[in-house]
Amino acid sequence: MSDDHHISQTDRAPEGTRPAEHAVPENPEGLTFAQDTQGGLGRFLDAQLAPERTRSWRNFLFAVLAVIAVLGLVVTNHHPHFGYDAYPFFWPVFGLAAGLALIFIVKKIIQPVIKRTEDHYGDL
Amino acid sequence: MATSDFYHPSLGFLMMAAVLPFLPGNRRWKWLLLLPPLAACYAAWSNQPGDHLTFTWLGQTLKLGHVDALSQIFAQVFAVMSLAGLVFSLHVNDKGQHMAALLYVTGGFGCLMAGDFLTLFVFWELMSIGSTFLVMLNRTRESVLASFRYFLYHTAGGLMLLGGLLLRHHHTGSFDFGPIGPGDGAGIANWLILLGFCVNAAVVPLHAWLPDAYPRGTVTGAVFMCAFTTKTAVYVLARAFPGWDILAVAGTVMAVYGVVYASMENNARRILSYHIVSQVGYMVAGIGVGTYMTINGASAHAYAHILYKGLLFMSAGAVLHAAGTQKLDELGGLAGRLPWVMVFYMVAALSISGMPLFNGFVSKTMTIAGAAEAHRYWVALGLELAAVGTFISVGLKLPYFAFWGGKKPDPQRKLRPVPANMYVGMAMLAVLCLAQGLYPQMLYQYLPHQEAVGEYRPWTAWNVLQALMLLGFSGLAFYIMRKVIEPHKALNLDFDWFYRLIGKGALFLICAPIAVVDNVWTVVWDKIGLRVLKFLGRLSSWFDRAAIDGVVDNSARGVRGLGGIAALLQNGRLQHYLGLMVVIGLLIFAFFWYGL
Repeated sequence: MSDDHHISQTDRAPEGTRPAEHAVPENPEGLTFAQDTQGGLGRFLDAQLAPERTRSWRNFLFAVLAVIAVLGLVVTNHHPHFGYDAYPFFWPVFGLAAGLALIFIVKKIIQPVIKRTEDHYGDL
Repeated sequence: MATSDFYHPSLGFLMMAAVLPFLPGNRRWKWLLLLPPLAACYAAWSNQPGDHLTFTWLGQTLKLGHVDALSQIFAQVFAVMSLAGLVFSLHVNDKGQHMAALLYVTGGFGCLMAGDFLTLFVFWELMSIGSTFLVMLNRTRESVLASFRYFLYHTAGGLMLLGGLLLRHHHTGSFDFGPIGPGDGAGIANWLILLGFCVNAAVVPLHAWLPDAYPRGTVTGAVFMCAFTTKTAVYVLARAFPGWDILAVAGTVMAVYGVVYASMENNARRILSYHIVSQVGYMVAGIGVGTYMTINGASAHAYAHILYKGLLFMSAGAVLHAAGTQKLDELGGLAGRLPWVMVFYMVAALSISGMPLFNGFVSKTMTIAGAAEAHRYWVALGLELAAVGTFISVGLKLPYFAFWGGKKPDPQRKLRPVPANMYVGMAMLAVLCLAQGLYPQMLYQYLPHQEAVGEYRPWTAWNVLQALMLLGFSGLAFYIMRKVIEPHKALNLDFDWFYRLIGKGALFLICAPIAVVDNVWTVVWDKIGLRVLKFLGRLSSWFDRAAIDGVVDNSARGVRGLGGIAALLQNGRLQHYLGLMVVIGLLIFAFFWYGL
């Protein structure tokens, strides 16, 4: 299935002939085979962007984190390798601390030093 | 290339590359592209262990078809990946790109099956040429420039390998390609070979060719490249250098280094490129630790990595194809417009992060556990740290800013349609990523050291919970720092700064002596050459005036004089003409009568 075929087909199509219920009716390049079949999922994903939905998702994920952390008290590591990983909250703390430190060090300390303009080497 | 019990997987790819230019232009040939990978799949599962296709050439035994457990598992995943990659690129109407990919894959399989260093070297260079064209054929200025840098760099790496294997032959008298012991007397030769391999494995600091070239390759070419070059290097390292301690350190550095750069990068495919460096680091570390369990882990991780990294490059390539940009600050709000691309991307992203259910979970954890079992705690801890960074940059940052990014869906944004074959290619790999995660035995049954497979079980309650704790809370770190990690347009200096400096230095070393000679020559020319020329000029000018002009002028005068006399005779009176005719006739008669 070639792209040229799609584009030339949609170039010929008069505007406003597509059904209004499509997720992207104004798309000037038209719908493809693939996009036609993914409209339902696309509409579902877009619907999740409503503020009350994003709040629900966030709360749900926080709840999952809490459950995971509590489970760490029940399911224990029988073969700790580093010593401290015998403690129940080692991995949550490691994940959080390593993540925060990594992002901070990379974005606030390393990148300001090595950052240049996009065309620094004149390749573009 | 084929016998009753052996078929060389390269054969079909090579033949297809040879006949493709001569096939008619109606594009029905595209279906033929699927034959070589299907034949390779058959070969990868049916070839019997042993040395096949051995030739004697110039007194050397060349082994083109060495098959054992290690080469089989790599051949299997190469075959699967080449099939998915060609399905993904079926819509491409550029025979040059297909030929480059086919030759590249030919080289990849050739390296896997090579039983001696000479054969390995030939196919190694073929890969380098094929992949150069996969970058160049993107046909933008920056791609062409990047392809030249890429080729120069890999030629340098190839020369190290060539120098090493020739020196090694001098010491050992053999080109046999097998495990190399640190104390086998070949010394510098082994290190040269190791360096040559490390160039292709993108070992830091020899890695910067990768994030330079791969994001500039074609959408489909990058899918092939992300799978074959580095993993061929992992394979040859696993064959020749298992247990070399320096690789354990180098691999851990790679794993962390890759995530550091990926965390600040804005270009989607460059983020993924840095994560190749990082993920190959797990494999290199596993090979360096060198126990059966970590070699198994490295092989399993290479298998899983080829599948999910291919899928990552496919889905990021699909976004680039559709939106026309791969820069995260220009993307966002695409989840509803390209939902299946997002779903396939997330399958790969969760796989690379080692999330339970996906194949990274069963391969990555095996390497880390193996390192810890071998009491290499710093290696294991470094790899856990890299896992945090991987989830943050590939599992969260890239998809968040590409598909959401706090931007509202923009129905006005023009998107090129994504061809159906791209979705099919992505779906094939996504299914495999999930299947291997759910049924690890599907992967484990092919691992090279079967006796060590029982030492590790991925699906225990603790392993699942540990992965969820590590990833879940690194996700929380991303949530807290999502404003800080927001990508912006920038170029982050990497080791290619040094490569360019070396390149400029080499150019200077070549140009400076030439410039000196040129300057001396200019002076010599000015003092002597020009004077001789001026003298000759004056001489020829005098000759022109005195001789040439004299001849020409006098001829002109002569013609004018004769013309004047002839004009006197032509007075228009018939009786004069008749009289003159009689006189001339008598003169001619007299000439013949008396003269002869």
